[in-house]
Amino acid sequence: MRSWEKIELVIATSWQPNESDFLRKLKIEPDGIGALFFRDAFACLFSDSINAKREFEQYYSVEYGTLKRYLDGRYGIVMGDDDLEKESIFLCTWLSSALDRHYDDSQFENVMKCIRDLESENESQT
Amino acid sequence: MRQLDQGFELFMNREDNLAKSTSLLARLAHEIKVKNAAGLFDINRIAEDFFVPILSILYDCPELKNQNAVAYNFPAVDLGCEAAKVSIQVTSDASSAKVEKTLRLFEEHKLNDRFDTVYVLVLTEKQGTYSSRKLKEQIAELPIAFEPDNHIIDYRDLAARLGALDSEKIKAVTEILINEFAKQDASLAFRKELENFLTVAQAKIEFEKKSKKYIPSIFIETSSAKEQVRFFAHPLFFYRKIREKLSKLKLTELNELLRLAKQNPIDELPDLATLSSDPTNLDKLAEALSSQTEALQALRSKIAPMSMDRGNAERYEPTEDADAYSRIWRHPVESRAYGFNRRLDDILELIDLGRQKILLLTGMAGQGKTNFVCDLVENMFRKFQIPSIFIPARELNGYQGQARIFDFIANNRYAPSVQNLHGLLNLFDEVARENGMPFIIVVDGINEVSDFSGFSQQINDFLSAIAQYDHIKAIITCRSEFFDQRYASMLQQDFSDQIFHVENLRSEMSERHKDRLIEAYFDYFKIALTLGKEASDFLRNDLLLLRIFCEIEEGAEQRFVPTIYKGDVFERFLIRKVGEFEDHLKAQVVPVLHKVVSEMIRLESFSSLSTSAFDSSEASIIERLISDDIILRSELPEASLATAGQQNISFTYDELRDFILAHYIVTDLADKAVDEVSSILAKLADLQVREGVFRYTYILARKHGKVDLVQLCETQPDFARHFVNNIELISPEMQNDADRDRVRDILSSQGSPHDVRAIAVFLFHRRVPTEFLNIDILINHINALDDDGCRQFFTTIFATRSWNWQNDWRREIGRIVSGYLERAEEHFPPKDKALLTFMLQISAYADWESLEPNRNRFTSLMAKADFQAQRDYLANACSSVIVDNAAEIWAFAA
Repeated sequence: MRSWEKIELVIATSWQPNESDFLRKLKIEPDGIGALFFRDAFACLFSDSINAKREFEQYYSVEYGTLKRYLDGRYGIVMGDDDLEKESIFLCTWLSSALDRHYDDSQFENVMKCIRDLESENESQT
Repeated sequence: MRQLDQGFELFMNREDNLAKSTSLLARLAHEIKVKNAAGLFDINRIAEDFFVPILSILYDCPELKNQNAVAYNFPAVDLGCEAAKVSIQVTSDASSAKVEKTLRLFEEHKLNDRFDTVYVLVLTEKQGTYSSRKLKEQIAELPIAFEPDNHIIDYRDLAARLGALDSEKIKAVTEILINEFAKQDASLAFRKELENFLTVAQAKIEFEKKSKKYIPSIFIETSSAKEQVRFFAHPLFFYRKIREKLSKLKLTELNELLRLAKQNPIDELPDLATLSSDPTNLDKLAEALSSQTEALQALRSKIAPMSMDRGNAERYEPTEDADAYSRIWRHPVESRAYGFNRRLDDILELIDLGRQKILLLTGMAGQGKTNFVCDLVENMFRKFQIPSIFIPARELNGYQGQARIFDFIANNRYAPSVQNLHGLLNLFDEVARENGMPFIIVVDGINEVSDFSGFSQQINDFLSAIAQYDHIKAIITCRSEFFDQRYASMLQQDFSDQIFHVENLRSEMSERHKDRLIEAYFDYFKIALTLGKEASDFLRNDLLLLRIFCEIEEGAEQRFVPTIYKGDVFERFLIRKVGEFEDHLKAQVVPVLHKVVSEMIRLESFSSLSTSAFDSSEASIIERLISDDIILRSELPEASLATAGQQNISFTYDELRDFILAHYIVTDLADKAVDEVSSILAKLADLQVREGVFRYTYILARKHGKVDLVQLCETQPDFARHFVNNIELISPEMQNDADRDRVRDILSSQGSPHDVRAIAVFLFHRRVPTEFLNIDILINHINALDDDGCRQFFTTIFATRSWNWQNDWRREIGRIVSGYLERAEEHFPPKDKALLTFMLQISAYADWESLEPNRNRFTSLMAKADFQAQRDYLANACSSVIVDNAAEIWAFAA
């Protein structure tokens, strides 16, 4: 079993992750070379990450009682109510090379903005 | 008299009913939580059977009805009473979003025309706070009053409301709950036994809390071991996680690479999909886990030849016609196969955990094994109602004979009436089967059973008996060195293949965890102190010191603690510990500790000492100190005929041992035998303990005014080094002119750069002007240096020795001053004038990149307020660089 899960990034969002919307918003051709990198980014953010809210509801709510206590007790993550009430909270245990902030050409900020924009689009539709 | 009796009886009935109904409400909430998490929760049945009758009494709503019965798909609220104008939404979703949605629908459908009040009843557990922006906005728009604290309720609010009702109503609610649960429990033969076991386990945990062996609030969950225990202890519930992982297991990517390499793909095992069904009881689960293991292992061995870590499997050979492709794709294939098998291994481990019967936790002392298992019993077993028994192994010392574990379990008022161990285990197995959870026996700290040899056989026999039952499991904890020497035979028994051994309980604590730990300790010990950075770093990096510090500061009111003087902490801690002994023993505690250390000195053995030289009254004090586990702990003597039956001891905390050694030297030997002290210090010369013993001997000698001993220390050849290394321990009350002279000499000397730097750093952090040793000494020293002197001094204290070391000290100065200016600009005017002066001094020597910008920033600051004293002081500096820099700053500021 993996040792203690180190959380590299926490994303609280009400956007329902969808790879094609993600690539579209980033203006990435699905069949192009860029898609390879950004699919990896999508995977580490949403597919391989821990979907904390779902995990809490399905497995940990009995022990921890509230989502807040679960995030704090198990991961040491403290979040405000506004973030806690987002549809999903993703805990990313690794970051793809496109998101590595140590590189000058890191796409981290662009990707985060893309997620925020997709969330806003989603909210305005609902 | 008769009336009084009746009144008392009524009161008792009321209290009984209240306790009963509160406990049943908690059980109801618990069962809802478990069912809800497992997706098996039927909210309608619960609402109809339990909540309509109960809430109608609690909220005085005689006509409370399910609103769906009034009108199909009734919006926003589930229950309503138009007579009382009260409506209630019953939900298992505790989120702010759910409450917000309820209120929005309530408003949209104008339900305020029918109801004056709306409650949201959270069937699981409501959040601690409801302060989200959206919810606040919705509440503001609601035409009726809604206060989250009062109108969002859960079972705890119901219990509190119940307590305010009259006896008749309490009785009515109690009867509803009893009747509903009686219907539910009708098919359960062992429900009562389960409740009894849970009660006893909790009582044991409470005892561990009282003795402070388990402090729940300071338990920081840093270990993956807890996740492992979940699969071990409640496999039927957590099995869904295994199923989920199985469903994600796809060979597509590996097969795609194999296709590119022109190799045959690996067949999906048909079993994988079919194995993903949900077992409904422990017997079916055992079957499922067994066939899954078989299928996954078969799949693993198919993939192994392609994996980088193929073990004993032969590397796969490509088909002849695909050789070139295979070479190109070989690495990606092997890498992907490796990744796939790692995922298989993860799943196989979880399955293995579900199947194993014994979880063995071994680790060094102080790793938190007791806290870990107590947390499990309290926060996992109790909440899931996993039938369990908690046995602190030290309590087995009170039982004799071959059946001490059985005797221990039988010795409580809820013990089932069975004649022997197998009778008991049969019952446990039945309870487990009925509840769908294994029966878990936790034996914590088997190293604390004094009869090592006898108990080693007993625990093996006990575990062997457990292994014969399908649904009984055990968790055993033991200090690793004791396990290796005394209990290792456990790994060579007929049940050994059913042991899951966890050897590393605690992974490295992150900085965030350390902060939380300090907060949790302060919270638990009700300490309101504010720690300075130095004090905080001290405690963050020494968990034993943190525990000791918190014990002595328990209940401390708000004050600032800039630094922690360990010597003072140890002294206060020992005084406190002595105070916990009975009056007739108090005077003996310190002499016993002195005897322990004098024996250690005599034998030149500081890590393990036999207790054979101590008489019975001394031994009883030693036992008390061992049981406390902070000052002394029990150790294993070397196994030999000569040491058979003996007990060894050591100090839990090396530095506390050094302090007690020094205390012995200063208070027992200094006056009568200074020569002996001299020979002790010589004797310790090459030993690791000398550093600590010398440190505290010097500090305590000064504190107790032992002039001869102070002189002896100061004439030791290595005194200067000790002085520098331990200057932080000289508390302000002890500091004197001689210290100040010594510090000045070190700063002025051309000697060890390490010493100069250490003293400069020490002075830099001392900002209290009334103390003998403070930053002013450093500032005065700098002001007295000429340009060459400054360059040399700053090189010594700021050089970071990186690759470009020749000028790195200037860059370091630039970095430090820039950081300072940011804070000073944010919190203007800077309160700490000494620090400001120091920064102005060093800023003159910064690298060219930061020199000018920082000078401009200083100019802006100086322009805003009068810093005449600093200006005058710097004008008198011997370094022209400092003088010119300051002159320029003030010239532009003017």
